[in-house]
Amino acid sequence: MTDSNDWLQLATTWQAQAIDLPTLQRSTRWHTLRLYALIGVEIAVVLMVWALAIYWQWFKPLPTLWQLWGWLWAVLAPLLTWFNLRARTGSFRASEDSVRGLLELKKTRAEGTLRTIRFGNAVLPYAIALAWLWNLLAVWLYPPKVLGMAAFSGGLLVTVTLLLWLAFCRHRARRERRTIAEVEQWLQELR
Amino acid sequence: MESQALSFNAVLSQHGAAIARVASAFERNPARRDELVQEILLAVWQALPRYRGEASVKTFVLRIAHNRAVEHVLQHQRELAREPLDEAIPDTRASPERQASLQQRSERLLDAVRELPLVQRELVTLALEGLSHEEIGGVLGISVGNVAVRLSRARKQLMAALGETENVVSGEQA
Repeated sequence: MTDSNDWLQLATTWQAQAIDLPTLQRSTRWHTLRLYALIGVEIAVVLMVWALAIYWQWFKPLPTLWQLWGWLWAVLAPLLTWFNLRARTGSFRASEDSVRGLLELKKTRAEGTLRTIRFGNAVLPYAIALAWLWNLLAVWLYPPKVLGMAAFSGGLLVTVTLLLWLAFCRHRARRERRTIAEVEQWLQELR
Repeated sequence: MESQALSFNAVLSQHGAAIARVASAFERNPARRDELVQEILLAVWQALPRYRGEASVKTFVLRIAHNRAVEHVLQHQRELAREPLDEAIPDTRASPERQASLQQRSERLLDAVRELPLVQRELVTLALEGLSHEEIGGVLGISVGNVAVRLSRARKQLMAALGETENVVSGEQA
């Protein structure tokens, strides 16, 4: 048998793999429904935040700071929801580009993440120093009755949080480097 | 115009099987395969309004399917390397004997395709779906000449893998 006959036979075998289409359609309908429900919940949350901001503004049950806080979230909540929806609708993804385009996009994104992590690492010592400066200044200006560890809890909390963040970033950077290496290898194969 | 007549349900009925085959070539684990199929279908649903008929619907759908599959492989690379072989997709249309034989052949083919490196796997699955070299080049973003050379190499590797599998199977039966 010739190669082309073999190939035709393989193509026939491949395309003869039967798929349970009704199950697939059912499952797709369920996923679509979940997607709409999630969008509904997100819009409901935004409306709730707006209602809360309006309530705080008109009835003033809390100090002015809370009103400002409410208005800040009234602006941020729809913005975050919009970004979230855009990300999910695939606008941030290259679904119609070629595989090569997608791989290049992946590589660019991973490189961007690495740059952000490097910038974060460079800023981290200054952030910790600033936190301690602020903490020491607060202790100096408003001395507590008992000068214990509690007085420095702010600086300690910021230091621990930032160090944990640093560990996470290191882990993330390793993953991004691995992704870049893999993508580069695949791009090489496509050249 | 084709794009105006396109509805998601029509695309799902016509190309749902091709999408499921792409997913099964890139993911062995049944739960994650279902997840991948849903991701692809969601992406197709979102991309349909942007379809302008530049390529056939099949190419359009397979382009999205392959992009999603590559993303999926990138995300789950480590798990994919550890996965054991799973059950094959059953064929419910044929008679029991034919079904068994078809299923065995499908399983062998699917296993051999899954063993190919990613780029070769893409070339082979697109060619097995019946896409022309031009269409495959469009999906992958490479030239037609490049497709011809690489596909020929991938086909040889697939045939060799299948030959080995057949030898192993016949050896076991003997």
